[in-house]
Amino acid sequence: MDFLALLKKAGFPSAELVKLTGFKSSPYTEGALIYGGKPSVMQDKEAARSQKDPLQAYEEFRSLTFGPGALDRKTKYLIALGASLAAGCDP
Amino acid sequence: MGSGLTEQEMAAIRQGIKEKYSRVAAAGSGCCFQYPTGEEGMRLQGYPLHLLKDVPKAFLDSFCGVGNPFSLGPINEGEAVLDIGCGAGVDTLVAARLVGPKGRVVGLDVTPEMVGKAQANFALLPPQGNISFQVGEAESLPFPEGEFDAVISNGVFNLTLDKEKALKEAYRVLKPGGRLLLADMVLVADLPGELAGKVENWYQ
Repeated sequence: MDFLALLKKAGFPSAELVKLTGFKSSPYTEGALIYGGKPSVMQDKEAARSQKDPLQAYEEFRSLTFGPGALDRKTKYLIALGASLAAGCDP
Repeated sequence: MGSGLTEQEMAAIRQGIKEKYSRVAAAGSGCCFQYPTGEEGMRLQGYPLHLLKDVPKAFLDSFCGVGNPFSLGPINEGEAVLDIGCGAGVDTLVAARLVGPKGRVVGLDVTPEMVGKAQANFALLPPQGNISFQVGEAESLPFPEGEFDAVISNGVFNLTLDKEKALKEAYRVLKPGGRLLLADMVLVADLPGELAGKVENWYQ
């Protein structure tokens, strides 16, 4: 895994390689300037808020599934009913 | 990180790093690096040398950083700063000048000889209340959570064997909203395939 990916994994979401410094320690390695910010409490809250509510996401998925398509709505509902009965659910 | 190295090879790397930096502590930075060191290296990397006019040449001669972490963003007056892998303490001193007497700076290094060298360097200056040094590893920082406003480091993470652990430790000791300002070595070309080359390259 590369170093920036490790930084992101460690909790620095906006970690970036800012520039190379021109100092080479070997033919394979060069100095680099890398910045990583630890999110503030506010930023963490914002990130949590911007995540979709799971219930809302399920509702969207459900209405897309039963929306217009190759099968009409009535057929889809009958298939869903058959599937839930076969799985032993109480529809 | 899965480096593909055996325990024995990792022990060889650890030993190699300790030996090299004990040698640097004894002989000075001029001995062991392929890029400009000392005040010339600092000038080339745009260090705020105007803050260091009173510092003896012998102190600045110890500089062997790979870049200038202070160019990545401000260090403000009154802040707490950790310098991971402080070496002979040049970056620690720059940070101390930036945070001023109301701030504080801790220099941490894995090599006791280097911490000794840093303390000897600081003995060349009038006593500064805002600086302390400790021997310790980047992979297990001896500090509580949320202790520092900024973590700086110069040419150190490339030497750590467990980079993920070391970065998580840096994250842990930073306050929310804190900054990690790193100058470090990165690979810019493919390493020779054989592992022997990998072990030798680790601490170049």
